[in-house]
Amino acid sequence: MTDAERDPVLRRALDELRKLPAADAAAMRRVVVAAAAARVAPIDGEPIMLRPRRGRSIRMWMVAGIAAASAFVGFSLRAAWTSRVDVAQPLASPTPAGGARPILRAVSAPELEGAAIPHQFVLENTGAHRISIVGDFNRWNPASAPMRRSSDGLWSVTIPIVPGRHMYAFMVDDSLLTLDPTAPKARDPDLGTDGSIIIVGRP
Amino acid sequence: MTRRSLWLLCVFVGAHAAGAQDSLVLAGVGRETAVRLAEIVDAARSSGLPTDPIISKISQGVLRHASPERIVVAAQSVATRLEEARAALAPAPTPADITAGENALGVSGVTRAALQAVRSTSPNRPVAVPLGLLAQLVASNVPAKRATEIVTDLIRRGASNAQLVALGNEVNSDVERGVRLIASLDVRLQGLTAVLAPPAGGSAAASAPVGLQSGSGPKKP
Amino acid sequence: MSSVPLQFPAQAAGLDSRTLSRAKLGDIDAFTAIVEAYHARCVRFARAMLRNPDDAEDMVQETFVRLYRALPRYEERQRFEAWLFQILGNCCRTANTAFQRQASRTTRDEEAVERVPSLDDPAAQFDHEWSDAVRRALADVPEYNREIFLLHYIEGFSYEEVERMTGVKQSALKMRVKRASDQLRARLSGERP
Repeated sequence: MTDAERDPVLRRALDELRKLPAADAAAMRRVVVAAAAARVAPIDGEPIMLRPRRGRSIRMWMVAGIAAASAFVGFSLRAAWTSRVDVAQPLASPTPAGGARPILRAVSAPELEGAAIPHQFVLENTGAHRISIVGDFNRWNPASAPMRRSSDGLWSVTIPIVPGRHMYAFMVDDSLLTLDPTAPKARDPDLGTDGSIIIVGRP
Repeated sequence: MTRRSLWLLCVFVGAHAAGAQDSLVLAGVGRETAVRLAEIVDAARSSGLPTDPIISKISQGVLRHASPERIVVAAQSVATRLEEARAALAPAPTPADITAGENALGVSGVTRAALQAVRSTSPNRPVAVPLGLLAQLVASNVPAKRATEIVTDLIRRGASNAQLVALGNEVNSDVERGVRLIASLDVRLQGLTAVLAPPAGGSAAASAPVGLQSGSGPKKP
Repeated sequence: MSSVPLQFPAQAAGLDSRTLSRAKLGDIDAFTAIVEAYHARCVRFARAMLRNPDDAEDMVQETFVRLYRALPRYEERQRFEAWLFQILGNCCRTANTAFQRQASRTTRDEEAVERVPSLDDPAAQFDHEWSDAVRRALADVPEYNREIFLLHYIEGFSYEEVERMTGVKQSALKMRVKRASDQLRARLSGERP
């Protein structure tokens, strides 16, 4: 029996301290909006230099992108609080011995098939300073998956991708969208632009 | 104030201002566009559809400097296809199924009937990969009817998702090297079906020769 | 008297690995689920840790923002909760240091700097007399003991996990928890229950 369990005063104090505050939906909404907006912003603080559109300043365009993302998140949140994502068992929980180990949860085959799969993208480009991959799997966010350059001008990144068909491209030096020369391409039916295609499935 | 903190200030002003639409107005997208886009996303979410494909399309449109009008039309098209995909993949498709269905319906030639055919062949398993292969075959000018037959036949023969993906990759590699798509698909299908069980009823649909979308018709071996 | 088991307090609804995978991809719905699952616990911890409990919500927001940005790189080498509270603990400690520096510029009363301000904290959910006494007593426990006490007895992390989260050896952790417990008991035994 621990020291805390022996003492009734301490037990009551712990009961008090363990009480959770009431769920604050507004505060949670602010958290998600702030986090999503921060995710769109460049992680290293450097501006993403997009080609100016119709003479607008680059900074305003970036603000548009960030603000657009935060606005969509903001509007998406309205119904997010009413549609709960299924949650199941915790990833791990304390055991009587005081240690923690993951709970092995039986995973159905369909569930396993839907899980994201790490996939490596490689692009050869000796002249670029910065390349990232953008696509359906990361909401076309250039800050989401920057690629790493090897000494031979091979850029690579490995990211988890859910099974299915995805369109993507490489963002080179924050201004140029380049297709993957090794992948099939297709035309986006709505924007009329070309993108590379990958179909991902569990190996 | 640093540049980054100025942007974050703009972000938080945008996020917390009365109506996040205000930040889009500031950026020149227009209040009406912002409202319309938000309505599209909200409507999809309210009806239980996954909204990631819509948001992704909007983000892509912004990244590619599409006009606000085009982005709105694109977003609405995605929402419509999501609804169609859900209906075609009934009953109870997962969000991943619906997303894959929307993606496939975006390829000219892929119809609800094709989705329904894949669903009925594989009623209890995720269909993202089979629909992805179907969509890419059609996008590569394989006739939709033929592509549907290929995919459903492979499913009936017990092809795994890995095998479907490998087929697509092998065909792509062949085409990269200059091999004609038809030839590659014929050969690779024969190779795959040879290691799969025969479908119920003994149909040889998957291994039959493939024709092109242009109307040249199936070629005799 | 409560029969809540002391070493295994009730956990918030947990996550499944698919939600986490989706959140790593930037899925805002999945991240929302994570926030919903852990927000209250984080606020509880932050209010108990911070010199200025009014900053708890901001601190929790800062924590989730950092977590969301770092999610793509999270490799699950430690339990997700441990990672979350590690970030939160760091944020709280940094805030306390900054608060102390600012407070020491505005007051010469060092005892006041150590004390948690404002018994009529509008964010406090409970205006129960015992509740106030407990929180006052906890606020008087030195920060480095208080944090370990909270992580172990309130958030339910094992000593092994707290060692990984904080870098402090288990023997030292147990001593800190004991000191915090002793101090709390001594303070509260004199209070009217």
